[in-house]
Amino acid sequence: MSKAEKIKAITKKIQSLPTLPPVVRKLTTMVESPDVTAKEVGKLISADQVLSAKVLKLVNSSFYGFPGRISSISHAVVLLGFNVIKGVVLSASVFEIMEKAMVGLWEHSLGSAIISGTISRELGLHEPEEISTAALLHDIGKVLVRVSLVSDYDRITAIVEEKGCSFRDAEVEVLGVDHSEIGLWLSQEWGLPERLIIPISSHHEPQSAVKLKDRVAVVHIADSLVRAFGIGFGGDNWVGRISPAAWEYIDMSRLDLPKLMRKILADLEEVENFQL
Amino acid sequence: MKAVVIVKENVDEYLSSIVSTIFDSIQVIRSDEDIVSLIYMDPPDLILIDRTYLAEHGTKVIEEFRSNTIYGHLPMVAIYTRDDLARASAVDIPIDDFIVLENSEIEIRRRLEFDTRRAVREMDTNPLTRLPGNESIIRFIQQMFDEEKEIALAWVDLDNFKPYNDRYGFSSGDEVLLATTRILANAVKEIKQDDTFVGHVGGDDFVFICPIGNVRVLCEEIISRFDMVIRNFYNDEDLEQNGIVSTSRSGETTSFPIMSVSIAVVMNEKGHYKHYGEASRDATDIKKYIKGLDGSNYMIDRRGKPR
Repeated sequence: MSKAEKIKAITKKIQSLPTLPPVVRKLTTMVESPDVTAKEVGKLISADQVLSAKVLKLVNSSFYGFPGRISSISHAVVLLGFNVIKGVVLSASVFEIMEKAMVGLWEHSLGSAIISGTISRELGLHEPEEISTAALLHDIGKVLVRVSLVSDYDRITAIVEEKGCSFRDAEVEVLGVDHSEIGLWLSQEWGLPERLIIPISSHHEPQSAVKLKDRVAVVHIADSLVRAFGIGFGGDNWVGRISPAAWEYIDMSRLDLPKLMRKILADLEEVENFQL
Repeated sequence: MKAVVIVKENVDEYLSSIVSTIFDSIQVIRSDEDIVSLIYMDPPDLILIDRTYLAEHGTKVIEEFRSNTIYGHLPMVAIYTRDDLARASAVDIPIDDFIVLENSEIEIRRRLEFDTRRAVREMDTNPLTRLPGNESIIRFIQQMFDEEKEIALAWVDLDNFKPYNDRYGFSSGDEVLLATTRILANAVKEIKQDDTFVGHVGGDDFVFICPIGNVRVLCEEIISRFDMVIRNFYNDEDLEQNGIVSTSRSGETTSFPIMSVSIAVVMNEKGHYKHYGEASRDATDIKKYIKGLDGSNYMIDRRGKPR
């Protein structure tokens, strides 16, 4: 069995991924409070890639009857109901220690989600919340590498440090595949809709997307912008070059760049509100 | 209540004495009689099938009932001895339950009572949405009226469901009904009040009941959730053109907007209503009016004031 096949096998059997302790602590207090609404809990969940993935996996499972349909947390919350969401929170597993790199990845994911939402709204794209969710989940493959392939993960980070290369190049060197491919496997395994799967799997190579090109482009651009704004840590200190294809897929002429940047900066303050 | 016992020759005496304490009438049918016709002529509330019959004739008669659309739901209970349970095949037949003759009287009695009640409950449960059906809806509403509870009754139905079904197929239509069920049930549950209820009348018709003070906010919440979630059930092309456009053979085009929801609410203030029929008649009047409006709407009938 090749390394890639082994990883694919892991994505098939992995039950759940852990997230950061403070997120779960905050949510647990929240769901136990008598006055909290499902909507409020949903809003906090939509800041966490792991819990969001879990909620989406549930609502898209055959048990609930909407396979491959639902791609935003607010819709999932309405369909699952408060008690199910509470169950997701109370059954969440956490990392034993607050690792700097994982906190960085958490902020990187949330930042990408926020920027994607801002760009989508400015472009007038349909369903900005879905695009934002896709961005939130774009690096979910990295969480699996950290959790299930610990020694490989350590080698990857060592290579990044030694060679100063990107996390993704180091992943390919060590694993033979990168996190976008692992993210693809995970999201397929979880029965997520195409509208999430395609941006997750193509976020590094928007030109490879056969459809939903505008969404892929937004996630791709947000992934670089969040790094450029110095928010979070995506595994290396590079600000990725934005693919010319991405600029083609979205109609830039519709954007007022200075206004967009101001909006992004304002919206990013939200990340600070989630300060861990 | 009536039970039928299917046996080869005779009913076990111990069992017979227990059954007679639960059911007013017991019909014993022997294997040389025409079982199917006898049961179809006068259907019971429960069918007991004895091991002696099964040993000789197998499960053909059980399968016959199961495939019958009218009597397929009748609870069928096998009568076994402890030895019969040694065979794994004992449970490999389409029965609902079995009783074991060596068990105590109270165990057998409660088991049969339970089987009968569960059958009643399940018969009035919508197989798709698992919501209670018409009989339960009427019973609940009538009980609320009898107790002069101040409640609001809301009849919910979908607009443009039929063309959606035609275009996307029944399984997508079923998903929409499930989504509607989840939206209604979750929203009603979230108000955390007693005297609430959600039922499925059938097709795309639903009912919910809640305290009068909650109904306005609840209607608004349900509409906003429905309008948000329903978009997931259309493809991009239809979302783009805001609904389904169909072209007839003669080339005429008809368009059907994205599905929306209509809610007709009547209030039972100060024991205004005595009977279910009065409330549903008032709701039908309002329904007629709001169905003529575009998009999702609700309307609360104010006529339900004290007379």
